[in-house]
Amino acid sequence: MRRKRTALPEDPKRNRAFANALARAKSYAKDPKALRASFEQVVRKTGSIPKAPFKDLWSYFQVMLRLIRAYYRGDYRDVRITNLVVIIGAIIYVLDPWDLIPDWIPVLGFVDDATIVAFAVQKTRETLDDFTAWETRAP
Amino acid sequence: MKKAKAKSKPRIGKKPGQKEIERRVARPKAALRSEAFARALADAKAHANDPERLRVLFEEAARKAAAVPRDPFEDSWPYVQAMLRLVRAYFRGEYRNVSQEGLLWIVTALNYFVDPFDLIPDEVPFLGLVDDATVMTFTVARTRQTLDDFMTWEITAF
Repeated sequence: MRRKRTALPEDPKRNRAFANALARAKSYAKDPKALRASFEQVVRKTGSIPKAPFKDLWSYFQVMLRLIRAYYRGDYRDVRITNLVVIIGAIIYVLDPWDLIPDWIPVLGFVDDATIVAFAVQKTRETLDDFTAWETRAP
Repeated sequence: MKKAKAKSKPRIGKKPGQKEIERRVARPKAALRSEAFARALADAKAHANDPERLRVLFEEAARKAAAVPRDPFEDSWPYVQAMLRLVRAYFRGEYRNVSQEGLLWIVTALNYFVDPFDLIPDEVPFLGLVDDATVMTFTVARTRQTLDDFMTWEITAF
């Protein structure tokens, strides 16, 4: 399928690249094993991504990574599937230019990563905050 | 009725009136110059290296973090949670890659956070945590690298 540049790059929902990431995220969300296979190595390499553009949201991005890890490991499953899709979608979008996700069709970055992460945080803040609360409760 | 209830509690300093609280909210930096902050810092200087004290602080702060509204802290909230996990990993000896200065600021911030009678007493509705949020924002700015390094460790070490 041919991909077009979108007219409104500021709106993540109308962004093709992000829509693709979300579509891919959907199949991952249903299959923790596949999620694990793709993410286990990837997540370790995220230290090399420049943090500056994310500002304070970097910490929320880290929460997303830890949440996904806890999810595929089966430690934490208290996440609605729609929220999980948004979180995985944001991670795929951010990591894509680093070629960290195997089998993922490269797309030109239309919206900057920080905008996507901000969008995902706005949608899933409650989920992410609940997860960090669980982390401090966990033994 | 409220006044009578308040009187029975031991208090450090005077109880601020509504006008005084509004004035304090309007000047966010006041939290950093407050007596409560100085107290938190002095306590951190004395006890930041005592694992047992850190354990008690962690438990108290974690309990409070689970109970208070998150809104005043905005986007620094996950950093507050990161401070908690860092202190836990530190007193357990799992993670020691923190400078003395970084640890000192983090312990100071958590001390301030658990103190119910800080610049704006935490019981004041809506405003009670505004000063705590100011202290947290200040501390995150000072220790961002430390906290980011810690979170990178969390992701890569296990």
